[in-house]
Amino acid sequence: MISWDSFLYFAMPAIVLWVVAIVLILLKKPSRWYQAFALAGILIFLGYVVLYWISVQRPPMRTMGETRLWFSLFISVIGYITFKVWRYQYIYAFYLLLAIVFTFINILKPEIHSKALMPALQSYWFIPHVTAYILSYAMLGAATIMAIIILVKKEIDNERLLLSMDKMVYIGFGLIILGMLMGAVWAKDAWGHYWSWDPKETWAFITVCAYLIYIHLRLQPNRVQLSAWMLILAFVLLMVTWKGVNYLPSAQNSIHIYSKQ
Amino acid sequence: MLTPKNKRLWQLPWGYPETVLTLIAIVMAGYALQASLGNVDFHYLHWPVNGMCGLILVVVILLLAVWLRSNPFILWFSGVSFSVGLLGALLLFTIVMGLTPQMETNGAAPHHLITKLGLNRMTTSWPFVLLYITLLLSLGTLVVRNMIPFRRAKYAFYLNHLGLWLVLFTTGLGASDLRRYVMYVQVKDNNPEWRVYNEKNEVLELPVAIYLEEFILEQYDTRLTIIDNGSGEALPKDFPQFVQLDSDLPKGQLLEWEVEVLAYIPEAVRTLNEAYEEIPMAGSAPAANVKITNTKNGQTKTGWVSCGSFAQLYRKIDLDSTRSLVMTAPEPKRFASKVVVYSQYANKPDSALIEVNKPLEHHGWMIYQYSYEEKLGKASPYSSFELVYDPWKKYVYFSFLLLAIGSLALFLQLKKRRGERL
Repeated sequence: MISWDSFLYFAMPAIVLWVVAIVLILLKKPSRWYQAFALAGILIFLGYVVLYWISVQRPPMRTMGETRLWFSLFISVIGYITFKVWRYQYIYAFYLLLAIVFTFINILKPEIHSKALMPALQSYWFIPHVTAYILSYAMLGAATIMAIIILVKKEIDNERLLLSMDKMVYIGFGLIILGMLMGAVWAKDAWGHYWSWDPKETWAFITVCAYLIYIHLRLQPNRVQLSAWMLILAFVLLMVTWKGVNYLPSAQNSIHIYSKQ
Repeated sequence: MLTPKNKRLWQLPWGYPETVLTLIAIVMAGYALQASLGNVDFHYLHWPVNGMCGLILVVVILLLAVWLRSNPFILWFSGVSFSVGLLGALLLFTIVMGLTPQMETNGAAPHHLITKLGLNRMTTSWPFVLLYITLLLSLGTLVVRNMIPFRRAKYAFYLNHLGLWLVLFTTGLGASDLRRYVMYVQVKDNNPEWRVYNEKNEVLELPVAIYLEEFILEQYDTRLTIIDNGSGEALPKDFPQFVQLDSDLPKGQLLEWEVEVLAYIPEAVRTLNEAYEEIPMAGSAPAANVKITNTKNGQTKTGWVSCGSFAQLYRKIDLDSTRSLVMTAPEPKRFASKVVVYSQYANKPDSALIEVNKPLEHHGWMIYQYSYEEKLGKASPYSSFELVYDPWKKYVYFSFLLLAIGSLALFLQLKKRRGERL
């Protein structure tokens, strides 16, 4: 049986492979080299997620550490796909770095896991609801990296990069709305209301407002720089929604707190 | 909207300065109402009052969008600058709401400034409600203005904007028509129960009655852990360690102790000779016979641990003066009620199994498994149900569907607009 204790033996090889891929990108080596290393890392990581899911006998989406696990996997996969589409090597390196950072956090601060899944979470909505959100977090994280590059390298006229950033946001935002609607239908099935302004829900609303501001600011062509800043702020608010809510005094009775046991 | 450089304030076309000032005016008006009237009481908004309000809103939107469709004020009111400003205002209000603990009713400290400003009941405070109405007007005007003439190429725009408008409209207006009651039903009572409690804890009688044949509670296998006798906290303090019990009789390590499970009985009762025996009954509790070895000094101990129940004492093994080995309380895995539902609407009673996430629909009423007497667990003498009547549900689901298709359409959006492949 594989448990959280075995994570290190999968995570370290994956991290090493991703680091090699990043170094190869920085050394401007042919792309098939670093693609092979990055893919090998993704496969090892995916292998752990699959084995861990089988072993815990419930969808591994209940604790903070488990959602970080999915985030690392998704961002490495999305990085690979965006690289295949747009061929931005450096952005790809950033995605791999982000996957490594989140994997490291999971090694250093695993947060405890148990088998129990409370009855309210036993629903067919559980997996699509959480997956849509973590996937959107990864997409929007990727878009945020593009916004930082646009600001730092002063690339506000790089139409291609702007288009990639917008696409990432549109897909990520679509996923957020889908996750939210699935959550609303689920809540209606479980408790009889769609939305109860639970602190996590309030913060999800905040996040949606922030991304809507970005999307609408981008309709005004001369506000690229402001939009990029807005995208970064939106991601900060997203992080509060994902992680910060657990620590807010206003959220101590939230149904969305990640399990600590 | 592009604005000429030397335009004076309030000179049309309007842009961000006018947007910000207008929103400040709306919020100030909201606080004036808040100060004189207190929070908005949505209970007055039940049918047909909410229907009338909705109708007025739709008529105003149609007038604005059709009659004044190319008026520069309407172009601004349904335009990008105003929507960005309005979203910004909602963002600020909800951030305050996300940081302030929210109350359900007008409770403690009525003279406290936070209560007076409605910050602890944000969604019913006047400024928030006015922003919500402004959003419905602005978004509605935008949708209608773009619907005439109808263009198929704008399908994603229609789905998302109309979908969102309908979601806000149906959930907002429908909220006052939602009725929610809790019913406590005794197991195998002589008569079916039809009395319920409303949100104010008043007893009411409903046209729906429930007879409870059986209450079913399944629990997860429990875990062993070492606690600090003083605080009762599992150790080590921030990363507690557990040994999960199951029928495979696991071995594990807790701090410096090696734990070997010799026997595990999920439904056990303590016998006279201080051991445990398998007797499935209401008051039984999980128990485990455990051998523990201190890896530092090789000392071993064997004994029974049990988390206990309402009928039995818990049992622990003392490791030293400050720490003991204990069993955690079992967590519920599934709880369900076998019921028969009687009502004025149906000739035949409705037999069903109701459990969490699997409510029963009975002639417009949704019946949800709510709770049980947690202290007594399997022996709970009653099961409680939440009965919800929500006549707006089908309209809300329709709006969800539009918005969901709109979200999927977002995946393809920019591809079409700029003719590039993703």
